[in-house]
Amino acid sequence: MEPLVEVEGLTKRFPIHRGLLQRTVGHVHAVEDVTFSIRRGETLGLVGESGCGKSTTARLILKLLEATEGTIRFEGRDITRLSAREMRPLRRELQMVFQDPYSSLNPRQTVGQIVGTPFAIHGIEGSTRSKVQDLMERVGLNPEHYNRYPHEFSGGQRQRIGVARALALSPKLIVCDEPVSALDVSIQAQILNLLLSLQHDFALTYLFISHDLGVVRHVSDRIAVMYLGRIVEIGDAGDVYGVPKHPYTAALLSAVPTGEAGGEMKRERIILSGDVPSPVDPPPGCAFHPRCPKARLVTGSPDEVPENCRTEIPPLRNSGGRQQAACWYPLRPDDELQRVVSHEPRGS
Amino acid sequence: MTSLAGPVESAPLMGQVVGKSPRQLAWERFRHDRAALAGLLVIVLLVLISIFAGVIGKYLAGHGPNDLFQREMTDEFGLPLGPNSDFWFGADTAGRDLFVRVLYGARTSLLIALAATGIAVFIGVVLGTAAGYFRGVADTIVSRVTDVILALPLLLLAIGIAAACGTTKEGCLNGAIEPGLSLVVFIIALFSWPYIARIVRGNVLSIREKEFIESARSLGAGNVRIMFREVLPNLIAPIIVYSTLLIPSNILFEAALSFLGLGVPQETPSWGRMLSDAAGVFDVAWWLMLFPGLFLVATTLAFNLVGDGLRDALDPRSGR
Repeated sequence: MEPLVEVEGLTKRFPIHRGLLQRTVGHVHAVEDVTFSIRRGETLGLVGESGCGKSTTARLILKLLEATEGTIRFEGRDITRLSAREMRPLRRELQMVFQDPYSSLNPRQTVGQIVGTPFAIHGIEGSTRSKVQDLMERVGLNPEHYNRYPHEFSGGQRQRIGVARALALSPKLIVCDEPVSALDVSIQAQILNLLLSLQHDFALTYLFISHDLGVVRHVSDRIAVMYLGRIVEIGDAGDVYGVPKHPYTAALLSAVPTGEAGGEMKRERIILSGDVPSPVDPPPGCAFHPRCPKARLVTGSPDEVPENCRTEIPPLRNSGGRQQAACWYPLRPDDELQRVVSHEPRGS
Repeated sequence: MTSLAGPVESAPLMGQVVGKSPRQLAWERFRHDRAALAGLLVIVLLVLISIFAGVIGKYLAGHGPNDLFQREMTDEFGLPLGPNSDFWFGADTAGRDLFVRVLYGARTSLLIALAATGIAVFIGVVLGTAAGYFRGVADTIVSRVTDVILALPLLLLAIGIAAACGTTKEGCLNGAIEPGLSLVVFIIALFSWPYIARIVRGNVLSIREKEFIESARSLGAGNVRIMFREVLPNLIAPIIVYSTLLIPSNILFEAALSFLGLGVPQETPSWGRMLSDAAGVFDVAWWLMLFPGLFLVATTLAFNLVGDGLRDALDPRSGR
């Protein structure tokens, strides 16, 4: 079956202007050569650290940002270069749930106005009020609160308002940009379960962005891991979580709390050295090589990495498991990354 | 504070939970601000005085603003006489009833200040919103123009414009600007819109980065809709506050222009001009300075108190 969304070679670079004449002195490489597809009815989880390009990817797909390079296809149709006017009918199909339920609702509008906005913009006939109240009921809000303002609701309720607004036009794809990261843990589960039940009822497709690996695992069918603007590993959730092939994925997973007594003892963490490099000047070759424990395992030296890691960008490819990873030396079951000490590579 | 605690906690019974709109919450806060309420009372009185200045003058004093009472109210040296039962505020050097003239002065001050502020707010909101929303070239132009206007020595330039346009009946720019009230309004508006434009621009810059703007865009809303439905409603509070605070400064601006003889025409009663007239004789006729001065101070103080009260009541931090 044809995928709902196909993204190919998607790239976004933000120019950096400086000086009196606003000359372009460089670029932030927010998203680099990202390729993936989302199948109908599935949830694709997008994980990675802050600043790795997850949210930019989401905004590119929704055309809130213009892509520098690459193509975005929705239901087989190339939407990359559509103008705002041409995009308008498609807005009904693509919706977004935002991260911050405090800043994503206009404080000067009532819930009725907020959830009714999509109907007003797209000139949909009929009683907006009853439609909005149906939506409110569906997402677990009291329809009698139609005339209330956002400040009268809790964070979880506000996020339900945001979900109702995204749901209003019966979209096919909903991009959830960290929809629960601003909420209390006890509320997170409620919103996640709401999203899952809505997906079931309305045959929705989700692109689910989060930095919380536990949350992503709970909701996702497939998972893509991003590092410095690139996808480093993508595959079925069970495969990526069970047998990670990319050393970065393995390091991320080792940082998830297990929730078992003594679990922390049994499973040792992979400690990455250094910080994420600046996306203004990403490292050549594999962007992860300055911190990669596996590369050091290959050379057997804490400050030496293989030649191709430093010079050639690894493509996403099958790497021994069912998922795809962008690594020259994908992990094998017997690799012991926990013991690797790493330094910045010499002579780079 | 009771309103901040939320309707849920203050409601005695579950069935009586009533939601409050941001406007209601602001009014609750404003109602408990005594200084602001006093200011509001003074403003209401002043508005009534300016509307009914003619009626009050006629029935309370029995004099018109330009009736001369040289025989009754000036002494043998031509100096005005002070307050008495007929002339409550005394008379000015021409023998006119100061009480009636002060009442009419309120009309002049309020009319000019409100008109000028209205024009300034309109220009300021339009240009400030455009600059903040579209940024880029629009922002550069608007920001530089406001910088230039705010950097001008405004009184000197106002004197220049008033002198150039106010000396002949035809005015200047082919009669586009005629001397009189409209010239004063024009000058004051010209120099006060940049304050509003700056504040609006700054607020728009911060609001346009909020996620609800992005959400509106993702729903397919156009620029016009986003500006009028999403951005401007969030600017009502600062616009009201700064307009209210701009009024007293514009009243003082008018008074200053009139004091320098560049404001309203000779026969129009104006507090500024009265103070200027009093300057020569205040050692023998204290009332000439006291009464217009008192009214001027009371008016500006009242507007400032209300403006501060509104700022507290509409505080954006409680807008959530």
